[in-house]
Amino acid sequence: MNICKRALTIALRHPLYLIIYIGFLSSMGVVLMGEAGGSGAREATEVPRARIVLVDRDGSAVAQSLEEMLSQTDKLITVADEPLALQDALATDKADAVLVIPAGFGDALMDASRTGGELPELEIATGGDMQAAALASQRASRTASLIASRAALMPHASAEQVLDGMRKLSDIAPAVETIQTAEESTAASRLAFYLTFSSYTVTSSIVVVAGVVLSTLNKPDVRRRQLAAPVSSWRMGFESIAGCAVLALGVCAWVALVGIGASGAGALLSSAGAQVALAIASLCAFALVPLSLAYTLAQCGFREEALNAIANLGGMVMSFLGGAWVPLSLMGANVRAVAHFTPTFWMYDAVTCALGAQEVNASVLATVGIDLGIIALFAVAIMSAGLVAARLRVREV
Amino acid sequence: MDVIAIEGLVKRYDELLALDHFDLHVDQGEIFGLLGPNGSGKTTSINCMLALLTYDRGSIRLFGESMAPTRYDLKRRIGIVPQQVAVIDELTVRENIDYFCSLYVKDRARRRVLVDEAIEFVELEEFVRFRPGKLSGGLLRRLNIACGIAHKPELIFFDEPTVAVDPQSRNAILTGIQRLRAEGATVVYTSHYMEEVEQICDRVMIMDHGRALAQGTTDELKRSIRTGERIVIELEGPSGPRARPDSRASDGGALPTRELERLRALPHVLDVSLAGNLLTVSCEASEHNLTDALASLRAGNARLGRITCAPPTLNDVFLEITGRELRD
Repeated sequence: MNICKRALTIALRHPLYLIIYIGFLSSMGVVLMGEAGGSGAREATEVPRARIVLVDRDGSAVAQSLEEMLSQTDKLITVADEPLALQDALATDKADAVLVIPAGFGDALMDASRTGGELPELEIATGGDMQAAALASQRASRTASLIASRAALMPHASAEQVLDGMRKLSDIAPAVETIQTAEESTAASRLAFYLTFSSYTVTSSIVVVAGVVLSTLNKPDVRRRQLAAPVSSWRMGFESIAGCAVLALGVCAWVALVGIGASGAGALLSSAGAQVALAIASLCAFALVPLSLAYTLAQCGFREEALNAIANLGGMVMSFLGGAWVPLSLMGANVRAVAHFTPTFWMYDAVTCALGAQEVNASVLATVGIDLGIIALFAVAIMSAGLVAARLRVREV
Repeated sequence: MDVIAIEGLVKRYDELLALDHFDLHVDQGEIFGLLGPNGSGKTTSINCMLALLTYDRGSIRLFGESMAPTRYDLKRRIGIVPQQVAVIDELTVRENIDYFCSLYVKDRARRRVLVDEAIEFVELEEFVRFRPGKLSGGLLRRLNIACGIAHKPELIFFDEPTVAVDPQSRNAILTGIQRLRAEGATVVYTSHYMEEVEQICDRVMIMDHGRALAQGTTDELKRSIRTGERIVIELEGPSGPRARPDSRASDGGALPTRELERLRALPHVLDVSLAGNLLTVSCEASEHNLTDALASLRAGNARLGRITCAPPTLNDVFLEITGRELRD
């Protein structure tokens, strides 16, 4: 028991690590959660209007129709059809994009839509605001594409008839309804984000602090003295890991308390306490991975400096692959495939599943259970490597 | 009773033979010195005795029983003070002693008493709240000792405990070891400092290349060699008008070669060497060695300075047995 107690004493004698890795990183998580989660639902959503210079070199009905439709969604600016004037409009930020309807565009579009040929393209030049320009370009292409589709459906209709039908369609505004999300749901998503980010906090703090404790107890001369004592190396290792496990539990408790407090999820505890408990259990299970990593690194002889480097780099990579920095849905398929081989991915899955559930039912429990099982497997695999290293080191005195 | 009984111990590190049919018997209550140069097998033999190392052949019995890694009953009776200071930097002096003592003594109340006694024994009362990083080299060594003896072991291994220690701390350590013996402990003391071994050990074993070359009390060892007396004479400048360059010793000494030869020819003289102005004459034990040597030198008009005459040291024993200096 004294080994366990002294292991904790050693950890507490490194207050700087505790402040940096637990205090600072959890604060960072809170700040990022505020940035990412926002303060709640917005009152209204406004579609951005791009400033477009539309150059009609066709003069057809199709071109006129395009101009009409685009004027409803974007702001059309008139500029002389001269290369210098057009370039100047973009360079001086008078316009976000220049859209040129080339001569013969209308006829070519009608023909292609009815013969199954390739649709003609609009000429587009973009300015500094790439996003607005891309949006405007997309709208123009989509409108042209809609005209072509309608023309294909009305093979014998004239261009005017096709466009007349298009105008009627475009007048039908979609019914938009704003659904006010419940405050609990927002708090749950904020907590989920925070806990996912905390994979970095938990990884780096436990690897560094527990690693320093275990490597201190594993220094060759200290180890020799311990091995000469009437205590089995198994018990020695068990008690020192137990001390570090208490430390890991403390880290998780701190992270969870900060997360619940800062995300405003306190109310969740009464309405969805089981979901929150499952999410925190996922975090605790995840803590086994850095704990086993710290043990393995200490057994392999890594010292303080190396532990810091590995913890930071490893923590960042793991949390990135777990979707803490950028949502996994925005990452490429290859990155997502690699992410499956990290425990953070499964923690993310468990946390989002638990906090996204309306109630804790068998399906939720099964999903979270499988995720935790996979996380535990990671921990066991890493710990096994550490035990092998420890076994080999016992022979080196 | 033999506290330690080792028979025919062989330990190999690949091609290197670290212990070569090593035998050792240590009686209860004695301070036994293992003397030998670095790499002679002292620490390896201790590691084998503590079951920290496996060995290829032979047997080790401690307190009359066979030693093995899981013989915790035997380990409980043993203390070790390793060569390097083996303490935990993050813990205070008291916490360090308590931690290592707790590996042997579970009862907290008893442990508190033992820790206090160990602190008092090594005189670290003023430093109990200090961490090792704040202690001087000598104080660190004392802490290292306290961590090894706090549980009151019956057999204590001191593995070169005075390396890189100032003379004052060294004397304190040696006195402490003698006190431990006085309290009933058996001590195995390894060192390559012959003066320390001569000072505190009841019996000494001289080791080299993993083998026991000789053992006995220091007097027995000294008597076992031919050298019985060592005369050291300081020569003052050139030895008179007869000291011509062509007749000088080739080693550049301040004495003509023929006078060195005359000294060598004296009865009981084993060896004569001249290093700078210091003339060393090694002789067998005899009553007239000094007067014979001085008479010979005066006959050659040598101008003599300080003269010392000393019995052989353990270094002489080692030199005569192995043909090289102990600190090579």
